[in-house]
Amino acid sequence: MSEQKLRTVIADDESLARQLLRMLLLENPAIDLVAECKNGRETIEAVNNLKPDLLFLDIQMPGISGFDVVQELQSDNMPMVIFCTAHQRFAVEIFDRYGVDYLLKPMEDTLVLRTVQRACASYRYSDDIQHHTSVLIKAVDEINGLLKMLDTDTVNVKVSTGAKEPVAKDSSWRRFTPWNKRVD
Amino acid sequence: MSSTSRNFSQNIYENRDQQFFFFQLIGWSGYSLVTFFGITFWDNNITLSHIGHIVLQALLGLVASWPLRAIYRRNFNLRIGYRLLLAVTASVFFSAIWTALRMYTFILMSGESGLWSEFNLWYFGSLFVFLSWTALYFGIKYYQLLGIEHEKLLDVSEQQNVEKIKRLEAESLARNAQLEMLRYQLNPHFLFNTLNSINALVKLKENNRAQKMILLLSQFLRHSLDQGSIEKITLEQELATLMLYLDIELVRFDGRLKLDFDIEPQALQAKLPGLILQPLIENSMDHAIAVNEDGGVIRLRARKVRNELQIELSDTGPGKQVTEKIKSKGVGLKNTMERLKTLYGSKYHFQELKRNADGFSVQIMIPYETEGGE
Repeated sequence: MSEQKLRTVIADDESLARQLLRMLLLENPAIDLVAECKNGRETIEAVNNLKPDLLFLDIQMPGISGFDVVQELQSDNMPMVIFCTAHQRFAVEIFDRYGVDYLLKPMEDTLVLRTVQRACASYRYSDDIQHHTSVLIKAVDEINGLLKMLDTDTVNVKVSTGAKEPVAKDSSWRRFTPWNKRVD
Repeated sequence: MSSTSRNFSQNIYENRDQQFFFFQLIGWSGYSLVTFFGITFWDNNITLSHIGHIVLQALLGLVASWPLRAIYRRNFNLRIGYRLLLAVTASVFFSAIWTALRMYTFILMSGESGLWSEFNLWYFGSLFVFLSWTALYFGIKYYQLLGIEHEKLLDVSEQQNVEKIKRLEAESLARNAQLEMLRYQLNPHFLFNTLNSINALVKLKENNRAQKMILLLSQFLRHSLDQGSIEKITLEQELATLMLYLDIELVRFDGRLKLDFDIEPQALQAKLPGLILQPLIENSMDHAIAVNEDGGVIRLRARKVRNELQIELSDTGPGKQVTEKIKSKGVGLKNTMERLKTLYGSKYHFQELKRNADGFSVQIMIPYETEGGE
């Protein structure tokens, strides 16, 4: 009954991160690794061509980010997505709220195994996959909306005041941009 | 010995009544001596009654001049003209009393009669003694006032000094707090990704590379945690710390990161605030190397130009794919700029030369300082 393997794509711009995930997934009999991508553009191409069941998607990638990849993909091609992130705390909060799966770096073997098991369980029911996809798209919409708001904010500020950025805008940017945040 | 004399003079200074009595004694004793040597001794009539009368008239003088103090004290705040008039009147009046008293006692003691016709001569001398008394009284009074004023002035200026020191201390505290806030903060994204790379190397059983990464990371962490916000280090030390970070990034970005450093030997010894370049390099990593599919180059130039250290940092940008998303480089740049401003006041230059899809470049100029001569 679990004869059918999950056709899986890994997307991460760091080769060591890809190698790690590859090793962890190759140990797992439920996974059939079909492609590895090192940026957003390659990922969209691979998903559209190969139509995989499962995608391990790094968020910070050159060119097109993990969030943009999800937005670009047509929803009927959408695989089950597991986001991989080092420290996007605000995104993690939103993932938690929507129940979207994610893995934190450094990656833990047992957590990778558990997410794969969950994906296998969902895969048996198309309803689950549909739910998974709709939730994923909603979560990413919210995140992208937030990012865009912050972006336009900073752009507007630059246009209106030249080089000088008001403290309030800047601090809000700082508050929401997790890669500038200190570990508490 | 000296301590007792100081106590005495201190006491005199503090207790006005004692002081007045002391001066009275000294003054009238002096007067007695002058009278003895100037008249009695001179005229060679050293008899008991003469000497006795000298002492007695000094005592009478002491008593007769006593009310003057009360009068002068009570009217000390009158205008100068009135006070002068008062002083002369009082002197005239009390010296007349004294003259009458000493003449009367002299007549009694010497038995000489018909002396009252010489009243004017005696009175003339007495008046001068009392005017001198008055002059001395006001002289001493003004001298003391001057001393008190002077002390007050010293007190005020000392207080001002204390306040100035307090203000300077507060300013330096505020400045340190600001610098502390601006000091380099470790980028968690970098930390967790590096740990993941080490994780991968361990999984791949590449022990040597894993160990090297751990050592690089721990050295970098130590530098970034230990580096205070104020101490200056040489550019050579700053570059060594930068290279700990960049060696890790070279492994993580595996060929996508290229470095082009051109540092003049003279510039290596220049001092600069520790980790001032780190946020700028990280900006380039985040906004040029990490977001560009083909990676890119980070260039760093440093040279001594006249009396200044000139540093130029540039990158090859995010590329055309993400032109519409050139995100704010605000935090890192602002941080470096604020730190330079707090440390150097107006003696620094921070200029953005370029910011577009093809890259970002910035120039910093700070005073050239070395270990020996600042």
